[in-house]
Amino acid sequence: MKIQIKTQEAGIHCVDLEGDLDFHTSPELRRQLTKIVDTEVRKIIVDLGKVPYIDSSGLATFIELFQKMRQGRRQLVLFSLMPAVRSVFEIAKLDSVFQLARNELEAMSFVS
Amino acid sequence: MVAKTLLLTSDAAQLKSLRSQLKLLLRNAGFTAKSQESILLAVGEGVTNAIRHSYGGESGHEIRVVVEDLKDRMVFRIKDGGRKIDLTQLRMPQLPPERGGGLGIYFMKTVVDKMEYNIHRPRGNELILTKYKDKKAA
Repeated sequence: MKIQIKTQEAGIHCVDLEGDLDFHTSPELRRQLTKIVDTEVRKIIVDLGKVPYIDSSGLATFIELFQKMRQGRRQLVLFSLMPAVRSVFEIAKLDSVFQLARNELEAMSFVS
Repeated sequence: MVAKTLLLTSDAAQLKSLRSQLKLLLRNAGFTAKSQESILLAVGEGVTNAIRHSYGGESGHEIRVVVEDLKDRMVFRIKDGGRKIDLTQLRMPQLPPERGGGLGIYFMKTVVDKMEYNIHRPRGNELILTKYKDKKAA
């Protein structure tokens, strides 16, 4: 999986992912996310537009990130979920817990 | 009945290749995109469980995914030779979950039509997932 982290305006960190998020790739994502969360970043948006597959390991990574961000009253938005990935969030009833945006513009508006 | 065996080892890096091979079989069997997604998720979770729990995360051990193409359904048998796991004893997660644990089993139970275990297998585990084929539009 390719992971790119960019800092946008107003201190918003955008995490750009490409590839499947499964038991093999989720540990590296967890490591990268832990690095930025530990810097006390206040706003993170995650682009899932190029992630065609997620399993319970991938979901667990986002749940962990969500919990850490929530503790510090920080903001996390996931956007551009592909149908298969959105479906997994819905099955786990996480679509009402996470802030999910249709695209980057909407995600930025949620955290601005 | 046509049966195909996908052979892999308990290396998480092989999960993607397994999904690619499975996808081809599912497409040829006429499953819709949505059903294909469900099966890929369920089988992926089953194989991940074999890697994590049956083999304790150790790489290099054999896992077989036997795909049986029947008239009205497809059956996926995930077989390993590792530690016996009683998945019936695992608790279902609360939903929405506050942690990731237990979601794999929940996904398997939810997205396929039947989830069973071969309790008579002398060694290792055999998880059996069944998905009925999509009815063709009239």
